[in-house]
Amino acid sequence: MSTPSAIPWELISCDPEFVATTRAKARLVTALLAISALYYFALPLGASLLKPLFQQPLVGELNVGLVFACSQYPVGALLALAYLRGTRTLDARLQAVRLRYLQEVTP
Amino acid sequence: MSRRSCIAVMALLVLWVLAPSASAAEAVVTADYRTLTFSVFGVILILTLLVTAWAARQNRSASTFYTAGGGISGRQNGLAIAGDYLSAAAFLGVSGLIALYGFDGILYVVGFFVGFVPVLLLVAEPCRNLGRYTLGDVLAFRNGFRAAKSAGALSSVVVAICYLIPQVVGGAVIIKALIGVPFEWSVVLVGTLMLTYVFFGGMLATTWVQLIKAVLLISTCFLLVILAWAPFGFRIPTFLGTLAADPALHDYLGRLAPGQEGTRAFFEPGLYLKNPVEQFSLGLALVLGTAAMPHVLMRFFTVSDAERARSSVLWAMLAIGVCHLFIIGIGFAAAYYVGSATIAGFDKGGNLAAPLLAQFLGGGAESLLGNFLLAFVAAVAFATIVAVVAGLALAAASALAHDIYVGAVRGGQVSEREQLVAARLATVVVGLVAIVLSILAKGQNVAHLVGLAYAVAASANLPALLLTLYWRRCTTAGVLAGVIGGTLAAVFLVLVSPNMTYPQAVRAAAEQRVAQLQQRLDSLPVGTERTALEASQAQARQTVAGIAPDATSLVGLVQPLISLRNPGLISIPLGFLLVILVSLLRRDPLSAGRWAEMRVRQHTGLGIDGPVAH
Repeated sequence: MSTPSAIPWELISCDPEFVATTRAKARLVTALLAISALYYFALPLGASLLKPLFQQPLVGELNVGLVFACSQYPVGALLALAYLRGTRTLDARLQAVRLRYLQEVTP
Repeated sequence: MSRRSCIAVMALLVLWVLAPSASAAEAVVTADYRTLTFSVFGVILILTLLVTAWAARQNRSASTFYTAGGGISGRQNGLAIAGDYLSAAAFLGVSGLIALYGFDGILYVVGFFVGFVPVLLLVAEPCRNLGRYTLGDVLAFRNGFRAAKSAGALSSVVVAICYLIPQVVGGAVIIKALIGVPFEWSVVLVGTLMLTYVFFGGMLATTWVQLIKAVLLISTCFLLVILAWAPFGFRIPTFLGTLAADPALHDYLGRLAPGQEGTRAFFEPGLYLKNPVEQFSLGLALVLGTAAMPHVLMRFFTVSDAERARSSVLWAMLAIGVCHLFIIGIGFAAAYYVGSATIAGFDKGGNLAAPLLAQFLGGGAESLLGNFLLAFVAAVAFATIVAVVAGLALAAASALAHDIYVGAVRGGQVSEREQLVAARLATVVVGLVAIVLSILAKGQNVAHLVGLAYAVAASANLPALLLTLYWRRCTTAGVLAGVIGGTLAAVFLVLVSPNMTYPQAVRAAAEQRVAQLQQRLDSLPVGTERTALEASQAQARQTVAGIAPDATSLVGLVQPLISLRNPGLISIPLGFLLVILVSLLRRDPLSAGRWAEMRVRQHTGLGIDGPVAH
């Protein structure tokens, strides 16, 4: 891997903008992970502990359990899109930090 | 590889497919339509081999061999991840599970999709920014070079081999059931194709084989769903209502779950997955294991930057999610058109649900179109298997050659040419080991190895990877403890679990069967039924006689030590705990010293390798 030796890693890692952006990214990731974990594990737990709710019919044979199980796919997609949207501004901020330090080390 | 040798390999492989047909056993495809089936197989085989021949000309460096030079686009890589990840178990196994047990099949497959959320949020971008070819590269970034490389390689090889064997064995069993090619021939064919793709074409050929397979698989599933659901105007309640009113399903459920009223149980949880703790443990291993599967991680090194790694995951989620939803539709459609009892009659696990549905929708077992569709689905299933095993073989070979030989043994001081030779030699070793172990596994239950692969990935690779990436105090000793401890814990827990064969339990079940059959025989007059029952009883007696009264399981147990089939619930927290506790015991100046650089690199991509254009 090419390693530009002049890059001040310690300095960048303490840069207020870098720290604030990575913290914002960590908050976004934690929130999305928590939603994903809660939503997914509600499925196996609900299938055994909330069986009467899962058996509740909605339209004909289509019941709450079937809809909830299949909804894991659109919910997963929504979480991915939320991440994409959230990182758009964060990426731009990180890119700005990157460019600022690259300009400093490039003669 | 020259054009001539490529054609020779092709001819040889096509011959290998055709040769055993003369001695083919009973199969879903009848002898009249076997030539048609082999022709469809041949077309797909030749297409993938042509891709390999093209890729072989590009493979002149280790970078091209391992990562296709990093020049794959996000969309291509996403589809290749889907091709790498959507196994025959998902296509044939899950559609079968749904056809036999309804709702619980969906419960099983969802975890394989949700596993990509942690991949997207935690793993894809940092891995691309820090690694070069393997998991070992990422671990070695801020940990002791040789120790991290060895640890990463150990768990990667264990995971890849554990996942590879059931894929090859399961694939061979399905090919035998579909077209009658004997088990050993099927294993050799799958193994040789896997070796050909990886040895000659490296990551470039593997990527394109996976891409072709993903497109073929999703298109086939789409076609089946269209044909099956069009008569119902794609209205889900109408279709489910018709299925629920099917007398054949009513009879089948009456035998499967006596005491159940009507057919509602088919659309509710509880027919297949009955233990909530077991479900939770399996779900945990699937969701967390995906983020640390070496063949999935390796795919992120084939794109040029973190942005493309992210878009790869999004494309992969789209392809896998759509395919899963089609598979759910196929499972219910197979239950309606073919019938759950008929599917179970062909294969107890329901693996032939999708091919049988294709045959039915095309016009049935006697029609040309029905058999063409069956042949097509069988060929797609075959392409599915070889694409998955190629990815796994490449991941295992990379761990052996790049991490163990080049990294741990030679300390990274190896010429480009030598690296390429090592990679190809490692591929041959992995291929031969896979073929031999798969043939030895004939008749064995190897399905639990898939669960073990996910459990090892989640218990060994993931704690080491995540804590290396996100925890400042993580040390080399902690990573080593987590990888070795997590791997051993997962393997040990499977060895003492109900997955293993316990001779005394088998003996007791056979004795019980002898007694039950005797009760029925006592009240039965001489006739055909009596003769059949006597034969069953003789077989059960033979089983009893064949097991010594002191026989034990592989590890010397009379009965399982734990009730969990999937060890994830115990081994995953243990893996994390080991990394944390051992890291807290002693500070590591090396790991701490590279923390700042790693954080900046993982978030900004500074210092990343550029892609190689083809």
